[in-house]
Amino acid sequence: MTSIKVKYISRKTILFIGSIAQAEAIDLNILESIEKAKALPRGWIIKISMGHKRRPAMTGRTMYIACKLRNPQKRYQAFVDLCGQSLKTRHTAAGAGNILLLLYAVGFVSDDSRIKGLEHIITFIKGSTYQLMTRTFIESFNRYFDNEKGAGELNENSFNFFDKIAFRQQYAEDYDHPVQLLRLLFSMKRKIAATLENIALINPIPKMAIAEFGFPVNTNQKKFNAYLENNRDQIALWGHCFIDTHGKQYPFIKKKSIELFIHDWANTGKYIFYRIYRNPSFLKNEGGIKKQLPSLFNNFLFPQFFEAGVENEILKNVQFKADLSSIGGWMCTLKRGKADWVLNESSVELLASMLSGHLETMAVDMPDYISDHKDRYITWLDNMHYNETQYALQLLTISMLFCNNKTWKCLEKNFKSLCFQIKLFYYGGFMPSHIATNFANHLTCLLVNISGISDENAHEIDRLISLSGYFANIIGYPWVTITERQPMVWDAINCKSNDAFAELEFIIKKLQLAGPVQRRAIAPLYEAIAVYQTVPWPVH
Amino acid sequence: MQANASLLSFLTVLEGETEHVFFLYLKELMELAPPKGIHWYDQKGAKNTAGFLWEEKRVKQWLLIGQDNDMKNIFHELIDRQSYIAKKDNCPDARFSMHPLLPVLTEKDVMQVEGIPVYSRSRQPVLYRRTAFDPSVTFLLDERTNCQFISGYKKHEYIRPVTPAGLFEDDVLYNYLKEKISAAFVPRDIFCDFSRKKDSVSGGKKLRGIVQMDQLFRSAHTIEIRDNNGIATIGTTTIDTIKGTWEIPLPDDDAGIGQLLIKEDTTETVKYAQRYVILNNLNIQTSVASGFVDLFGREMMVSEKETELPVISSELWSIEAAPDANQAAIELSDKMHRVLRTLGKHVCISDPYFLSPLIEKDKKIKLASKSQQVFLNALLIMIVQSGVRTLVIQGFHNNTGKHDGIKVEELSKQYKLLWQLIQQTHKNSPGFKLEKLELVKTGKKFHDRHWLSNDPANEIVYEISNSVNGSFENGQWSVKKLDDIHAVKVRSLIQTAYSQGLKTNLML
Repeated sequence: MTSIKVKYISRKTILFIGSIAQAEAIDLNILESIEKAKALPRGWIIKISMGHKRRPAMTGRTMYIACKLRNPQKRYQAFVDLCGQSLKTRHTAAGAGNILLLLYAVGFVSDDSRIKGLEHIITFIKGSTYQLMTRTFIESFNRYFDNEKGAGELNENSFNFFDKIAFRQQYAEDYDHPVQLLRLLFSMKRKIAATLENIALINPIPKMAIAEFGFPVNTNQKKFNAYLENNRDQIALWGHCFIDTHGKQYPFIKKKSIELFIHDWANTGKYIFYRIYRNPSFLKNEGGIKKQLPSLFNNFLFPQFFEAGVENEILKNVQFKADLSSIGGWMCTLKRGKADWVLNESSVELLASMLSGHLETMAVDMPDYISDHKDRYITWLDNMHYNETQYALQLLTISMLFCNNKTWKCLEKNFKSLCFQIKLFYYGGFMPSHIATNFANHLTCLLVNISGISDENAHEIDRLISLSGYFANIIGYPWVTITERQPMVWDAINCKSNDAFAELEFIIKKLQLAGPVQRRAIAPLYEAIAVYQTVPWPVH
Repeated sequence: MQANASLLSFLTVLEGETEHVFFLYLKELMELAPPKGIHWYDQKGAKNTAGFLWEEKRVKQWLLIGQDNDMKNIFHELIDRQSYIAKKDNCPDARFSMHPLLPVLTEKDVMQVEGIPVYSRSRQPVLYRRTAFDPSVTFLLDERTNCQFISGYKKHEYIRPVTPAGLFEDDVLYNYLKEKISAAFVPRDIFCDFSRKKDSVSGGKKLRGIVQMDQLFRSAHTIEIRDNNGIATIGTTTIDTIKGTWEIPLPDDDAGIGQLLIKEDTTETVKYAQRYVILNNLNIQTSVASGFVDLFGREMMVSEKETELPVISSELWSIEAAPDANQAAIELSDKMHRVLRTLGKHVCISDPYFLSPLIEKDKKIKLASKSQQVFLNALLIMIVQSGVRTLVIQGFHNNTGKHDGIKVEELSKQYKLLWQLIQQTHKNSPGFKLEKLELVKTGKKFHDRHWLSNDPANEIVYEISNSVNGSFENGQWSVKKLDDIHAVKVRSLIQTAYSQGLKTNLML
């Protein structure tokens, strides 16, 4: 090596390159090392990347090489040649990695030149060494990123987990970050490097940093499905990559893979479901295989909700707001032309139990909303102006009226307890009284959303009379007198629709449009309004 | 149906067998009274017993609801006789005592100030005051956080909030106790709401509103709109007895500011009055806020706007007042921070032991004690919230046993860690404007601890009871603002020591 004489390159550089080519470990801080060894070619300087403020997971700084002298392209080419010769002489897998890291950091030539340089260099690396080098890079990056800072709750192999990391990582690691060299290594030798197994070995944070620009995976549909079936812990990652493609296409993800995503409901399926049905415009901008998502979800969900005798698995573990709103969104898409679908028994019972449990939690948690210990804005469903919210509410009302007696008793008790708690909160200052009003409106929504019942539903009407009776007796007076202070009630003609009062608007509309059967079913509510009102309510 | 229920709440401290009432609160509700007479809430006096809100301090709440008059009678019995005995069948009596109270005369009462230009809301709370502070609740006097735990606006695992949480508005308990107010009656108010509308017929402006009262009241009262000074009448109208609504046309040049009165027709008595401003153009001042996590793990927001707090004449902290040690530390740190914030942008900490030894571990500060954590936290917050430009730390010896003083080199090395900590915490903060961080080792020994402002326009000097390392562990800490003469003397001593001392720039 000492005999090599290259223009623009000093002897120290030659010695340094020779030594790092034979290193036993990858040095991710190679730029600091070369600067410390004073082995940079003349005129080359190390600069620290601008760096985004949010780099929670990195343990080091990102740097690049600049050069302000003339003929940068020639200087770069001379350096590439030197690196090539060093690799030709003798190199280890880690050593080859170090040289690639150096070349990747050169910032004074065009991207094309840089990539060409790298492609030239890897021609000197044997396949087996390349494979080993890729693995060594993966191990190094796994150590380089501070997982605790970047990911928080580790070892949680779910879509949500990858989503959180992707959200925190976005814009944090730029395209020039050395972790992207790994992506380049995958794409340059797909067959031997870009394997699904290698991707599985990468820790979540570097994995999501690469995923932002797409995994250049070497696989096909059949192999991919087989891989997912044998490696179910990888489904969440690929489900996330499928939804958050950032314009990258994964042609090997087809119907069968999507079914695997959906069937992995708790970790993957439900999060894709949220994406689609909580944001109705999501699919409008999507094409290709994603257009099949609604029908695939229908195939999976429809029997669980509507086929008699089928157990509803997805309702067994649900989050009140997130799940119900998405299910409401899905029901919106089903509704057209098939109005007489009937919820199966399992769905009714599970929904009613969930509602009952939620009413109980709301009553217990009320003091926590005052101390801001819990967020009252995520306690109930979304804005009542949204169709999906109205469908979700419909599900709750149906479950409340049609559940079995045992669940009903429990629900009735919790409804009553919540009314007593709301009553007390009406006596408090501004904030508790505001929360009481909101919660009372939530309950009223449940009572008034009954357009479908008829005289045949005697049993259900009894239940409604009972609940509206509790409501009217316990909180009827404060509810009527405080609610009628809203212009939506006293100045209905002049009052415009407003998202802030969407729930009240919904209640008034339902009370206005209710037919004789509905009015009979919630007669105590109408009576309370008639007796306590000091202004005429627009409900007659 | 007219609301006729009132809620009465006693906050008591158990003293022997008697419940000493330290805060009595009567509120008229928008509610109908229970048909069976007075109702004592479960665990709040239902069987003449009540559970503790804060067991360690023996604090309880008693809560009852009933007809307005019944509740008023109990309220006044306690105030007039200073005692009340709750009797119930098959239950031992509950005995309540209270110190003598005097009613607070409020000048804002509209009933007494008719004709005076600016009216306030019609019905202010009626307050009753003690002649001296209540010594049985020192843990609540000037202790905002503890009052928030009791009121329900903050949560603590050992303290239950009153029922319902938020019964008193935020800071009401804190402010009242600080003003020696031990009883409050909040009367039911007339509800009146209105907004400015465009008249669809004439095209002009009008005020349209509602009065939420019964028909009898509406038929016997008139609405009057006056100008901002309360002198000229803009318009009067009757109230629609059925709908409760009213409308008054406004002049074209209406500025959106004025007074609304509800007057009784026969006697011209003003029953309700409100000064109003209708917002036309909103000018919202925006300032960028960024955050950092303090040494107690709290997310702190820092605004670009620098703010100073009003000068404090004295402040006292005792570990006894807080429900647990961690909360006590947070309280002390916040109190220190409030004092430091009054010092402006040029601050000097003069303490013979500096900030106590700073220990290095893995190139980071390892906090020597809880006291150090408490102080450094206050200092860190102050640096960005006040936009501090210069900070001087002046001392003589480091309490490591070297009572003849410590070598400047050793000291500088230690205190560079402080600069490192400040940088780490605030490097991205818009409020971080520190230009000078100086360590001064004085030539002579001194004893007293002082925090002072180095700003020529701000001559505050505070005397501090403990050195940094002893404040929390000693369980007590106090600060006193020196009067003018002493402030001049102390400042002169400190400045002499500064000019003769060995100075190190910690930012290098």
